[in-house]
Amino acid sequence: MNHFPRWAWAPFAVGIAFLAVPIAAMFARVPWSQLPALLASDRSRDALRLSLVTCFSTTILVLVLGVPLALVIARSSLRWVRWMRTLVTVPMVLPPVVAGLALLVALGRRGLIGSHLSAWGIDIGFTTTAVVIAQTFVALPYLVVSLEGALRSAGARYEAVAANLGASPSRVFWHVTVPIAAPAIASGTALSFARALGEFGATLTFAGSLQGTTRTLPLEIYLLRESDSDLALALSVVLIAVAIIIVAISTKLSSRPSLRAPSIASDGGLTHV
Amino acid sequence: MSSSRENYRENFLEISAQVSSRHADLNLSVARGQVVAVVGPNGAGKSTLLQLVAGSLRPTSGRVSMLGRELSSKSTHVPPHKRTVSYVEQRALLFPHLNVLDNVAFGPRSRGAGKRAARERALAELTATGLAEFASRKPDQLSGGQAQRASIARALAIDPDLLLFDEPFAALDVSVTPAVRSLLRGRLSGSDQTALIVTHELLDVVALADVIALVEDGRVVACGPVAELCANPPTRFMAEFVGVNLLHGVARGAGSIELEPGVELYGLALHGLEPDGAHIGAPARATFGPDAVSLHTSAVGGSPRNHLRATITHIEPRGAVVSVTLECAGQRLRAHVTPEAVAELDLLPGREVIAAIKASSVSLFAGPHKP
Repeated sequence: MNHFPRWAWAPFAVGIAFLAVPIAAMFARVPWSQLPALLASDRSRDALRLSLVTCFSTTILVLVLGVPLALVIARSSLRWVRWMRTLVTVPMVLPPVVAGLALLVALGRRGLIGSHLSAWGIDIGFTTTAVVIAQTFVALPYLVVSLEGALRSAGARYEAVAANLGASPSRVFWHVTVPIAAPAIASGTALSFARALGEFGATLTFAGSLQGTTRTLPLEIYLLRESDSDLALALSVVLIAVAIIIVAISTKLSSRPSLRAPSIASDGGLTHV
Repeated sequence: MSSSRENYRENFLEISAQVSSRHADLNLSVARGQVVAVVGPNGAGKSTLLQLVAGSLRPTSGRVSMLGRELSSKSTHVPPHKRTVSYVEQRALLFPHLNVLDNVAFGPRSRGAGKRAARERALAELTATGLAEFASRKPDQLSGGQAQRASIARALAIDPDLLLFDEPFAALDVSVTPAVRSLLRGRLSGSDQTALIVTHELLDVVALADVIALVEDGRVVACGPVAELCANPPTRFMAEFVGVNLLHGVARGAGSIELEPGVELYGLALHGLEPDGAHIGAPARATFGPDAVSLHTSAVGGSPRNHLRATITHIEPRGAVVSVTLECAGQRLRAHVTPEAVAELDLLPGREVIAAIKASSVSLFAGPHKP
């Protein structure tokens, strides 16, 4: 028995078509035979390399900052920390261009902090570092929000047990909190990585578009869309492939056996649902 | 206040602490090797007591000390991981990402033992608990009883100076509770292990504990040997816990107390009621089992000397008998009668009856009046 009205199939079909047709259309237009040659070109190799380097740097930064940040928000009973929880979600709803502008005003050459850094000879704006900062700014909330929810629902009981057994707070963190939250950390990281990979507006505003330095895949695709649409499509295929891989990994990890019954994990068909 | 070595042999654990947010003012001292059953109504402060000792709660004022060492006071608070106290909860809470052996080895590892030494210790503990064959299993492959046994093994593996149990059998299937209880009994008796056990089961108290600490309204209202508190329950809760009726009154002669003017209860004088009548007018208590009470709808003659007018407030089947709660002279008492009697006498809540109580089954004590 289906527990929904039969007419729901109509919006279902329209919705699926709406999502699938543009992607299918793109795949139909991609010059598959020239794909290796296109991807080997200078412009695409620069963009690919830059996106890879910045996204991995961003991911590491997101993990280092985000996991402890989520833990403090989930566990602290201080009132102002609870306010921080709301603050963390702001970059998620902020238009990326506005995020880039905010970063420019803060860290740009004439920005609030940037002007002081400039005096020390450190210029962040329009460098690869700026790309990483822009990506981290928009991607960090994705890990924090999903991990914070998971930590909150897992509760602090295991941590209290570990403390009573003699584990110091740091040992509790590494040997209890992190392993138990591992699936949530993994899927949150995958989300952040995907968000960083697709980052466009904040990067363009704060870091600009210099080939090999700040011009990541999405920026390159945007520039090439009219002048060399074949290359733009080839690079889009790469982004789609990476996105599919990330979704697959994240689904697989979030159904890992550590927190669930083994019978669920051994069901091989689950990941493609 | 000096804590010489001689002193803390006697006073192994000393609690004299207040927690203002929970309206708790708890005083308790425990000797080495004692197993203390902490009993009391829900929300009375039993868990607060355990948390103060475990270190997860810091007292607003007062102090907690163990082995002469100050654990909590105005100036110090030793965090849980630096105390040698193990805590077993209702739920086993085995770490889901570790197998059973590594769960038990977690404590020794955290306290500085090498990997191999910790695993050896864990295996020894699992063997003693009858779980050696499950060492490589993940917690979700254990039954509830096995998991709780593993969590007891984990608590013991750190050689705690003090073990805390918060209703350790409450979440277990009734069919496995006896096995886990007897395991715990085996590990506690004959050792020098000191433990506090919060429980709602008289059987746990009788099987495991030497001493009862009765906690009510945020205070330890009584603390003494199990036999003493069970035989002479100081409060209504304790009387119900033991399964007897407790009525308060004023001593009349050597063999009776007055529940309210004109209502007397006869029984056998025990503690503190002297035959010379010196105690007359002093507060006194009577206890008797629910089986000693029979109910009648009209006045009866015969041997029982006590005929009390009472009103039925509640009727509840309990196995083979029916438990009838009555109000008598402004107090509550319980009678166990047969289902046939309930039908025959047409007993219903609100009905007035006469409760006949055999005087030979009533024990009288001198004691303070507790409303």
